[in-house]
Amino acid sequence: MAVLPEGDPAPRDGKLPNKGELTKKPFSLYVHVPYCAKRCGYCDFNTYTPSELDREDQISSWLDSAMKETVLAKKVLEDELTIDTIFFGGGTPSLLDGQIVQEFLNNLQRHFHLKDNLEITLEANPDTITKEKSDLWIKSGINRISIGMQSSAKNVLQILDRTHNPENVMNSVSILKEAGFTNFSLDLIYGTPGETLQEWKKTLEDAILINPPHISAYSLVIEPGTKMGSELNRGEIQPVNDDDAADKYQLAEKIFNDNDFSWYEISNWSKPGKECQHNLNYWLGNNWWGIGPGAHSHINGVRWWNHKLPKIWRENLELNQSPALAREVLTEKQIGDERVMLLSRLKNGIKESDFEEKKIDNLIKQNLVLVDSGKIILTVEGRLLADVVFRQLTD
Amino acid sequence: MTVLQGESTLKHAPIIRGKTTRLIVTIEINPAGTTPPELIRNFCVIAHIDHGKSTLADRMLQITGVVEERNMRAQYLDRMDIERERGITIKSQAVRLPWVGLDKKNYILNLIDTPGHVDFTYEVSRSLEACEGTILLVDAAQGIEAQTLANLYLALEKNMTIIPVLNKIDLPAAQPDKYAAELANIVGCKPSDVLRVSAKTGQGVRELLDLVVVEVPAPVGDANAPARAMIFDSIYDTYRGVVTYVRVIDGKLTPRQKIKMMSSGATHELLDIGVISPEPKSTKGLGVGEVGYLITGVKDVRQSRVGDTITDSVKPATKALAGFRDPRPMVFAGLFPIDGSDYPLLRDALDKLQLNDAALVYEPESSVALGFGYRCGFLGLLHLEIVRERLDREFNLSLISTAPSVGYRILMDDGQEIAITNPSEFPSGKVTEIYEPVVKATILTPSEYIGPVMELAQDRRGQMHNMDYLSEDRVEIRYTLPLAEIVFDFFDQLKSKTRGYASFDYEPSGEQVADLVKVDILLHGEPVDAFSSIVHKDKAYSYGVEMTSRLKELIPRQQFEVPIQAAIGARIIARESIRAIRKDVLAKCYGGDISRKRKLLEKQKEGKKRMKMVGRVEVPQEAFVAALQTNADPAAKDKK
Repeated sequence: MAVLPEGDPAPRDGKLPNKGELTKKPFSLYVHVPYCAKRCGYCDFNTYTPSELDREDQISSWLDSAMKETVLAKKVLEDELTIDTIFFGGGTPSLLDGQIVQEFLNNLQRHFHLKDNLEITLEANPDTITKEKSDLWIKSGINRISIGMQSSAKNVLQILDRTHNPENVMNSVSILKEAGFTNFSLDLIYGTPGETLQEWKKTLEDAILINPPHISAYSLVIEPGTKMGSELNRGEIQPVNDDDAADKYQLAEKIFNDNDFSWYEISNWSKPGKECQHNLNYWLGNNWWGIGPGAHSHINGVRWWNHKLPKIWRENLELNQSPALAREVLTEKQIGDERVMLLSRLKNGIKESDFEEKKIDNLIKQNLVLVDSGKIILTVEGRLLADVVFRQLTD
Repeated sequence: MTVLQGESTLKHAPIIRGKTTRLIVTIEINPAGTTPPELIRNFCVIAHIDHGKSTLADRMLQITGVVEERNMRAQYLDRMDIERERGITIKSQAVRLPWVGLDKKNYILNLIDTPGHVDFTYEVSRSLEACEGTILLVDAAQGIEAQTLANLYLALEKNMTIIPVLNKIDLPAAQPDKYAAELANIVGCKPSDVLRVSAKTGQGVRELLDLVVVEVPAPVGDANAPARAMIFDSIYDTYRGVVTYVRVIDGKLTPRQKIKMMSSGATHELLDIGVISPEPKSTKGLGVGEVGYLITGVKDVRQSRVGDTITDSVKPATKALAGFRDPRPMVFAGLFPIDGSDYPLLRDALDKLQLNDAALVYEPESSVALGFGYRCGFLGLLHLEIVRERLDREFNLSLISTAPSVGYRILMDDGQEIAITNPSEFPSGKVTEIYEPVVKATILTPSEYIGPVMELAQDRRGQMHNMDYLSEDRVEIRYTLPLAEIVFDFFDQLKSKTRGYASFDYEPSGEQVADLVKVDILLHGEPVDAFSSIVHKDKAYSYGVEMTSRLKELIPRQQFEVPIQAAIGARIIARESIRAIRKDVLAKCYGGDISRKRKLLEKQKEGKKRMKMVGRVEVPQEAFVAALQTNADPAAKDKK
């Protein structure tokens, strides 16, 4: 399960050392719904299956605590803030009843303004998308669904422990479209042990057939502590092969390009104008509050993260205390490094003038970046070696 | 001097010869300096590691009463921890034991301990030179071993009196009849002449001491001639400076006397002179045939060298005693601190070790792969290992050692002659001839392993001289082997091919012309100095293949393809390549990943700073360490 970073203790009242100017930057809300019917073999997110939780911490208790944290956020941030994007992530937020989502959003508006036509995304497992839920979601204001398709190869889904049938994806999209959703994304995973290049190509082509406005494609990372991590340790599966992953990335890039998708971040492609605004806010260094167990927040150079366990999260909020476990107040250097780390991953790139010419020339020579309109932009090769680029830029 | 003789104070004294314990208080009639030579017996013990020499010495100390039981500890004479732990003696000792002979005369027995290992053959020879007789001590459960045999031959060459003794007869596995026959065969006596003792219980040790009085000749010398004393050991002591152990041949040495080292002409004043019994005791001097110590205030054992002759500076002898030579390093290796900032500590540590180790030589060396360190010369493999272990243990230094190499003499086309001890010094010009050091090796093995032993020796370019059966099932095989062929893993191989039963000894035996080449290992075209090696032409290819494939596994992928080549001069003989890395990026970087990801990148950057650069290639030091460790583990771990 996701290991939280090390940090300084977070104060009980959640107060920020210096919250700075808040209204000038976009502000997002991340909402973590840490429940899953079953945990996938690769998953290291903060998720819990029903059997792992006490009765009082099941999904039904979530709304009450989430609303309490909304109140805390308002109290800590004070200002009359407008929310620019909202993202329900998980876990499996699609397990939430439509009414609960609606109630949460209604409550939210008592404490924050919502920007007109703001992007509200909800992550969904294809198995959990129903007509009833979709109708309620769209009614409550959700306008973007991120669908965990992962692969269209059954054997790959099986290794990943995904419960859905690949055909469900197409059905889910039909249901969503019928309910009125026009904006959705497909999440894909490549590099699963045993996945052939051919299978990946088929997955890409199937995704293209669905014709989504947005696709994310991630190279599988087998984290220690996950089911697949143990299988790897026991030698039951092979480690992810970097060369294979690189081939698959380049294949994805080509197929997406050929079908009018353009990359805008290392693992994200979209049709024009369909970039995920919420994620862009992370990468542009804007502010956000994360509600829910284990959720991370960032306000003007302060990062903090909540207790992972739903029980501790809930109990803190019941005592009117911050559920934050720890935080870090970033130094100027760390803020600068994060900026380079995040901006350099974007197609928009990072300003050339921030760096020594020699470094940039060197990167160009290595075919890792190109410079366009004063911006340093990763080449395809550079995207696969983005950590190298970061190290050289910040050296 | 009052001496307690006998084991009277020993509560659990073994009862030997069926006599009851006795208390004899004797007055030493002839204190040191005035003991008539005819009452002196100087002897040493030749034995293999673990055959019980130190235990025998312990028992002699007890039985002659020079150490009381309450002060007794195992391996009393072994000073260094490392000696006691490894059960080997690195430096020799001398101890004066009073003993009433069967003729009721008060004798002085000087027990001169000898180093038990091949690397210290020269020191052994000096110890032997200080004696008239030697006890050949052999484990009754194991029989004679190669090193013992080699030292025995040294003693036989000097026409010394040999007293063959089987030890550990109390062991259930002892086969005294079998090994007595073997010893008798080697020494040329009757099996019944072989004394049987148990150093552990004390059984037979009294008889042995009596036999020493009877068998070993008394020393002979001219009391009126100018003083001549031979140095057979020299030890640095933090408080007293160098303590020199001598055997007086002619004349007499007295306190405050001005003495001269005959090899260097350096003069010193005798600040202290005395005997060890078993703690140092000052005396009024040392006369003909006597053995003792002296202190002149010098701080470095190289000023008081083993084998040198000490004489009177005012009335010097005209002729030095024969046999002195400078210790000559035979095996060389670079020692590098794993943490580069330890370099000054390494220098200090080597300086300190050298105070007590005249054979250790070193000079600064810098390596692309390993940074700054020292090129060190050693007497042999054990010497190398002991030095490394002492640096680790006493100075807390983590070191990486390059593969040990030997010294070569190279004749160039232009008539120039070059001596090198490091492959990196190999000349680039045209070479006419290369001479490599060779050794005379003695291998003792159970006869069932003759085949594998011969195969191994042949593979190491060995030339067999002869093969003798020591007994029905044990064979002595003599080879000439290139030293370079045994500094790697010869000994380990020998042990593994004979299930640990073979023993091995060697002594330097000049040099031979050999068809040798220098193989360089190139990383992206840049030579990696630590892996250059001088090898026989026939082995160049396999060395090249092994090193290139090993490095391929150890060096992380770079952003460009990195060829790893093995080359002789400009000719590439083996090649591997590390394919360029294509992916070094974390796929996901969302809100909750940012802190972790930043920390990860910070850590990676730290790691990069510790990388060694070979040209453009970044190599973690651990990769070099791992590549060297697999083949640089010296073989001298003889415990059998």
